[in-house]
Amino acid sequence: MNQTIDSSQLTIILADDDVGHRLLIKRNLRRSNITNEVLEFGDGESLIKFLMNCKEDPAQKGRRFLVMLDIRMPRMDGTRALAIIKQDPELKRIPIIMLTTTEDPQEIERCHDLGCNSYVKKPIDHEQFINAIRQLGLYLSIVAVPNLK
Amino acid sequence: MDAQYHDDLSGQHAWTHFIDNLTSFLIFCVIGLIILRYFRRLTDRDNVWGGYSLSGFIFLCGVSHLAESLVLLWPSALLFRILDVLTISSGFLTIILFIPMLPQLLRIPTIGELENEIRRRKDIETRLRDNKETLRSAFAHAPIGMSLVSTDGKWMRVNQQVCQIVDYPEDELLQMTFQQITHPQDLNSDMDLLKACLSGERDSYTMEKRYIRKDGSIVPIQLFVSLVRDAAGKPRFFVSQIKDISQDKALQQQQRKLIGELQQKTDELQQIVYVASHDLRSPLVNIIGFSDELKHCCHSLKKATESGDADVIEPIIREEIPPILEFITSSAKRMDQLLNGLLLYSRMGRYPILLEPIDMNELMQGLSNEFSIQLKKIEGQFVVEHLPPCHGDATLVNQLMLNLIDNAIKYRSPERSLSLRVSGATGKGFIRYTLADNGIGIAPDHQTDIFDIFNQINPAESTGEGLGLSICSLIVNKLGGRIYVESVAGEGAAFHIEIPDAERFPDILKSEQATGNSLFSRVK
Repeated sequence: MNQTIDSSQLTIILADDDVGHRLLIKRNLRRSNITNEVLEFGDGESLIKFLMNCKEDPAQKGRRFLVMLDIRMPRMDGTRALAIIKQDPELKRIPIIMLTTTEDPQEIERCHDLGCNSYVKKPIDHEQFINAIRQLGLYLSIVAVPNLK
Repeated sequence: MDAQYHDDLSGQHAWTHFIDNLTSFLIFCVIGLIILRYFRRLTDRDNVWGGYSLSGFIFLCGVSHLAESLVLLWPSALLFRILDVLTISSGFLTIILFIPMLPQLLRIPTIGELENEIRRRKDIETRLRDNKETLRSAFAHAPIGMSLVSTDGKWMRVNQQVCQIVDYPEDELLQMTFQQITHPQDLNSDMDLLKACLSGERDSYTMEKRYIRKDGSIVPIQLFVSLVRDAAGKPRFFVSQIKDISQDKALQQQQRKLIGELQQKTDELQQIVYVASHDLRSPLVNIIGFSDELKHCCHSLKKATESGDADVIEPIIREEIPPILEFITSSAKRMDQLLNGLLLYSRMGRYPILLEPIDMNELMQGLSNEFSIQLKKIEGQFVVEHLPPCHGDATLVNQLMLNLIDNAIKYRSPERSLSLRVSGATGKGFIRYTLADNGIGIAPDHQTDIFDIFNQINPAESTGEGLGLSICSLIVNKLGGRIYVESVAGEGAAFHIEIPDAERFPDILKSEQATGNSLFSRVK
């Protein structure tokens, strides 16, 4: 399972304004033996800027991403970033896992409507997180994460 | 025999005989003419022949007397016979012609009966007049507008109320149609309903619409219309009742406004609950997560101690644990800060306003002293111009200014030392204070949402709990004023506060002041 992820040369993108949350997620990833490169962003705006640059840059061709996106962030919140990614013909196939601290059914529905692939609630304890990552791995092996064209 | 009889009529007798009979003839002629005239006037044509016959009979009687009077000059037995036969036959004819009339003739009213009948009719007439008068005054003095309108919309009759509602004198209104004074936007629906009445689809309708008064102002009314038809079912006219509902409308509008305000407050509250639950949860996630990390560290330490692997112990204690602890402490502190802010915000929301004149120069002097050490440390310059006094709650205004000064210090530019200038001006109906700084400024996109609760532009770069400006906005709202910002990003910001004049304070503030608010003491 881990091999599936490793062999795809997947880069995990973490967009969350809370440094602590990012650190916790990274530690949990490492503890689950997920050694993929992790990129961190503190808000939606810088994430979108990065992804748009990747599209233009020939050196980034073939890179595969998986985005973990926090909902409440300054400048541009997670739902808006999600909408932008899912409306972009080239970026829309990037799998996105929404991270949130609340379990607001309306918010969850909205994220699913916008096309998020999974939804995980914080705080995540280690067992839960590993479970989520396993599901994610399974998911990744099924959908075969697309390259950036 | 005849000869003898006529022989007696000589001398004195002859003259008397002549005159008597001639007089009788004349009398009969007159009576006959009267009867003839009377019967010719009758409307009942069937009996005209009876009348002719009767007058003929009487006339013939007269002629008999005429013949008698002339008997001395012209004594003809044949003439007398013919006249007798004619008279008797006309008499019979008259009787025959009058037989069908007999039952009617027998019922001819007496004078007493006629007088009674006249009285009865007069009585009815009086009652009819009374009824008409009652109806007229009911129409005229009805508490709402009453009118009769022709099928093409012309005012036929209106009462005083209608004239008052639409502000036209009666004679002028009666020259107009209702279409002329109906608001154009309401005309089509009114006409549709009116046509439905005329076509027989319905008998009446009611609607709300607007009239345009003579002075051009608009009056909302409730209209009740029903169509009156004649015996044959042909539409005659409309009866409309018109009720001025401008007061109802004003109340409705006020109610809508209140509901809107309430809705806004509820939304605000919901936002606060949502944001608070999220923002409180965020540090909690860190506390739970890093506590879990600590548990892992303990586990590793335990394992290392058991195996005596000292090389592992050192980096765990020196490198892993301290940042974990730091995250836990800072998260707990952030939660504390947030809760303090929420408490302050809620306290402001329930704080009973105490209106009094405020000497702003004195107030600013106090604040200047309070901030003096902090300002000295950052080498900031704080200038307060002479400020006009205002009318408000001193505690709230103090908190307001304190937050704004605190903000200016917090968001000062790292490239230059802070310069903060406070000025004031008296406007029309309000007093404006301006705090202008040379700090980092605010980008145009953010200039309105900085006053929203928990909105921080650079959360990581500042220490605030994101409540300072929302508290300012809450205070200014409570005082019935407004706060807004002018800023060029990177160059500085000027916060303007407008507080209404003492006379212009919203009534609700005064009533709030009168009743006081016991919640405050509980929260405090």
